[in-house]
Amino acid sequence: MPELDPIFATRTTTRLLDALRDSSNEPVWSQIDARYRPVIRGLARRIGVPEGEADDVAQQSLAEFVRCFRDGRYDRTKGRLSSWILSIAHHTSLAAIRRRRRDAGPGVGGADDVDPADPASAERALRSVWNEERDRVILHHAMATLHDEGSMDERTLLAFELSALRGVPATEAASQCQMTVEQLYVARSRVTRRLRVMVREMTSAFEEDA
Amino acid sequence: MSAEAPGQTGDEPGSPCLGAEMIDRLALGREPSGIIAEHLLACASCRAALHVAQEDAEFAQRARQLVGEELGPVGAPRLPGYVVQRVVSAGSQGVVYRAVQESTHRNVAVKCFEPGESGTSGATRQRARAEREVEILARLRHSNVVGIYESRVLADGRLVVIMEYVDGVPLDQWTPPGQNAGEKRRALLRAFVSICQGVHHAHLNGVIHRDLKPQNILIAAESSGSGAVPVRPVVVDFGIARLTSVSTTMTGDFAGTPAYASPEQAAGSHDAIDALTDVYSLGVVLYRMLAGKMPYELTGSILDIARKIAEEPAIPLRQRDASIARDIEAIVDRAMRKQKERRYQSAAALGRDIERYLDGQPVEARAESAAYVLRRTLMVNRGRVALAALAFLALLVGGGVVYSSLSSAEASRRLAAERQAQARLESARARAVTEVLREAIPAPDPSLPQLKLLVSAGFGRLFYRLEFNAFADDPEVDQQVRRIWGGIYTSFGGEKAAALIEYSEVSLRNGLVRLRLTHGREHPEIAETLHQLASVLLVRRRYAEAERVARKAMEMRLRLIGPGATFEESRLLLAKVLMASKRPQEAADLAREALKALAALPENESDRLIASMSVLRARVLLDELGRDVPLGTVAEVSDQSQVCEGLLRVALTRRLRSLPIRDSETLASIAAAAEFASLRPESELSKLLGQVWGSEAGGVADAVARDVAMVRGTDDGPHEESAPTGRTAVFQKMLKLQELLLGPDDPAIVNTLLTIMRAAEREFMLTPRWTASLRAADVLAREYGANDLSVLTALTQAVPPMLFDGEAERAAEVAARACRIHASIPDESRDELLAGNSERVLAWALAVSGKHVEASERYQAAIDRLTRCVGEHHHTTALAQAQLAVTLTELGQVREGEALARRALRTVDELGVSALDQVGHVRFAVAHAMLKKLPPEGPERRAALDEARELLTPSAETYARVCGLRYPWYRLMLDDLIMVATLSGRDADVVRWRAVRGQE
Repeated sequence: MPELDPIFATRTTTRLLDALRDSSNEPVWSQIDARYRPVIRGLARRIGVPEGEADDVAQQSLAEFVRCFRDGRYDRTKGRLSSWILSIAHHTSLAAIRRRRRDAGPGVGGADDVDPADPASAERALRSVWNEERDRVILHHAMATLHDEGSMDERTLLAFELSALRGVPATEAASQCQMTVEQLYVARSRVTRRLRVMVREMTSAFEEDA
Repeated sequence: MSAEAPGQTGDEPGSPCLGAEMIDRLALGREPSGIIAEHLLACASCRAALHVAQEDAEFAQRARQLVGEELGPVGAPRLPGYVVQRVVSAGSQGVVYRAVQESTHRNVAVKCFEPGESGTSGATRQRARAEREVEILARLRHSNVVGIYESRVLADGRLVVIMEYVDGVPLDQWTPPGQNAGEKRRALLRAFVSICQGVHHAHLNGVIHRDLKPQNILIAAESSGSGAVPVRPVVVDFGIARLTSVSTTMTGDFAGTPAYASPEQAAGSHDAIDALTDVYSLGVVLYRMLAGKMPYELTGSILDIARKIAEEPAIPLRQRDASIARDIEAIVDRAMRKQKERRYQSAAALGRDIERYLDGQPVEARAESAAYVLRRTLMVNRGRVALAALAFLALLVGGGVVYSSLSSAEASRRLAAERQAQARLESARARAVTEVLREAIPAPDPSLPQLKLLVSAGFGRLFYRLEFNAFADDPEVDQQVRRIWGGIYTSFGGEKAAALIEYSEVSLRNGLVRLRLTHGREHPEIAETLHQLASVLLVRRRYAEAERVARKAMEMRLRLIGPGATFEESRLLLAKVLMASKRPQEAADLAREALKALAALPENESDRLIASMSVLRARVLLDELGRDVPLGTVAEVSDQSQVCEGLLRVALTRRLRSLPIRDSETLASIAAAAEFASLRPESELSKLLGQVWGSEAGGVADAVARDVAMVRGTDDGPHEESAPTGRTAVFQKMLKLQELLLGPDDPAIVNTLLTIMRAAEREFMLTPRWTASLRAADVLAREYGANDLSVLTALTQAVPPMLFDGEAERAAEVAARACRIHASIPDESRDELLAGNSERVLAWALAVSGKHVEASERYQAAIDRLTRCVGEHHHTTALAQAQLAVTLTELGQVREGEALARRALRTVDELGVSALDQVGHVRFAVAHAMLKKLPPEGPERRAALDEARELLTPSAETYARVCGLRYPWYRLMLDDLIMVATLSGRDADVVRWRAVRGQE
């Protein structure tokens, strides 16, 4: 089986966190960064942080995470790592939104939908947004890995992309891929199955907590 | 069945199984017809296939939900003319696809950026900005920068950039070719030179990378007919950091991989980010690639890391890997200096220094201290740095007059003190000027007559950069560069290319518009720019406009800054405009007022202004005095004459002590003084000039005019192959004038002595060259102490011309003095290369004096030192070996001498050393040894004689130009040639070389 995408090369979160204690370990930092930055960024945008500031929120959240982690403030017994990062990202996003409101005056905002009128449902909604952003990142990485591993030819991958992801009608997609409709279905099915396995593996690596 | 092996579509039980298309439709929710439903009930394999297909469909639907937005509603990015094939990478900045351009069938990379908040004005602005950025990126055309072809905005607002597809591996995953570590390292350095060139190209176009790291540098293989596999390094994601607003606003932190960030990025000083930020990151990348580790121990929080980058020194490269050459360590160290002004001032300069290392030449990184110390020694204490003088010194440094490296504790202390003293303004200006001059002077040994041509080329480039927003990141620098540009240009005098002066005006006017948008109607920067604009208008002879602008600048300065040197500068400009407008009296009045005000200012602030005002007033008086019928009584005219003389003397004195002798203003003052002398031959000033020029034909005024014209004129023409003659003598006369006016020990004469050295070198005049060097050493010793580094530099430069001039014994004394200065420097601060070189020079002087035993020991010490410091494969080591070989031969150790000389010859051949006198020495060393042990008569002997002749002939021709018969080793060379010709039976050669040797 080919190796996973580099950002999931350190298989489990446990091992990633252990390695992170050694702060000279630059690849680990890169992995944490690659894993969580796009998810935090997506979350921030979804809860109302403007496009231009979402990167800042991701940067601040990651900086805060590393700072707290190295200060020993993460207790694995009290919750999953992703929940902890999510909560940092959430607070950082809300702070950014409040700052923006304050700077821009009344009428500018967002984040009302996640204000804790009903804390439990707000938390569920937040978790759902987080999961969706996580899945999006994972899917992108899985697709890139599939391309890189070279086990499927270009036409097969294109068939999947066109018909499964881009919704191009089968006959048109088949024509673009220079294959028959039947071949297109076979190709799409092969890629889908492989991707499903990869996504499952990556999600498990992403979410595995000690 | 399975979807991978579909049967034919069937509508009846018992008929062939369902086809993949039908199963797909059913999986997507289509209701099966009765027949199909019956078939499914009956066929387990079709049911299984449908189950899998339903799971697939669910997955695909989820995938479409997740990434469909990025891919567009119907399979975006739909780019007419391109077939998008696959995702190359996906990250926070967007998704990169590989695509094929249909018209050309070339592969392209399509980078699709995340959309902004659609429909908002912010998104529109952001998109507009991104489009402008892409426009700038698209201007980059360099084989080492990824090419941007075009950008498009999709219907959903996303920006798509279509660029060159690079099929390569990131730098940190690349294994450079080579049989051993040394070869691999050289291959890496060669690739790095290309990377620097690519980055520099982008900088010239105003694009800063901001996130240089090995992952952003791809190494692509290039096909070629040869066996070797050439590579093409390509820097990707140029300007993308800015394009996507990745840079953070969080104080103290930074985006991307922090390890490659510069101190200014780490400190969160976003305003300070410029091309030198990339130079720093290049240094870190090179460090990482050479050492395999980062330059800092990156422990602690991100804030700790930022602090380390900003404050702590990097771990020395050779501490990581002792096999890395010191020169390379120095290069990386210089690229990674914390203070930007102490880094290489461009990525190209970094690349050039690596090239120098690869070519076996001395690297600038190690020469920096000497050049810097000397430059500062000569310039700083005279207050304002004259731009023309800076250009001159840059030529000296580039030309190799000051090439030795010095780094002592004293130098460090001085550098530190000067750094503190240097105003920020000056450093920004100096940086920009240095950079443009470096670009303008491509040759390692440029000839002085090319100066204007080269600097003009530099102006052209600078104009281009200014107008394409190269400095847009830093408006202050942008303005300063604009003004420097206008300033240098207008200060050059003489004829100016119309196109260039137009550039100057356009550039300043554009700058003015920007400044007004930023600062409103009045601001010191606006006043400064108006002042420059008036200067340009004056040169363009649009006097009425120039007057209006000059007055505006002057009034604004008075209002905003108050009286002082800056205001007087404006008043001087206005006076010049009035002079040019044929209103001399108004100009003189203005100058008189200005001179009164300037008298109250400190000398270093007022020197040049007073000189200029004085000349201007003197000019008016001279015109009156020169009329056939004086306007006034005898007494009045006599008064005028005295005033004029006084003014001219003041102007001359002040200019000669604050400007180089060749500066156009200095020359104009000398010319004005000569004009006065011709009108008033009985005056003191006339007598003063007479002491210098009195004995020349045509009288003082004519002689001065001739000399001034010669020094001015030689600066203009195209490249001259033959050396101009006569300029050394002119500069010597000007030195005498300077001594009469300032006294013999004034440090300002050092500048003139350097000018004489340079001119004499070009004219192959030995005595003026070394006497000027020694004189400079004396003046510098009095001014800065006997062991000052500047003294050492001047002494070392005196030795070779002394030896060539037949002054071997005195040269040995001078070289010994230089060695003693070295010995006074503590070991840890001593520069081994320079120390080794001084020892070599001393040994050479001893050898030429005939003290071969003593010389041999000195040479050995020099070679040991040089080998430790730069290795055996270095041109200085090779030269020392060759010179030792001559000494060994003279001592009768012929076999050892020949072996050593041949080793040196191999080195200079491999390095491609081009300095003729050095190559000449090495060739002579080989031939000289060979001839002492010729084989017996036969083919071997004939071959040896042929080889000796081939080695000696070009060497002798070189030395005939460089030194002549006073150099004992040249005489030895000729004796060897006569011997070769005699033994080979080449009678014509015997006659030829005997004639050269002075034998009948």
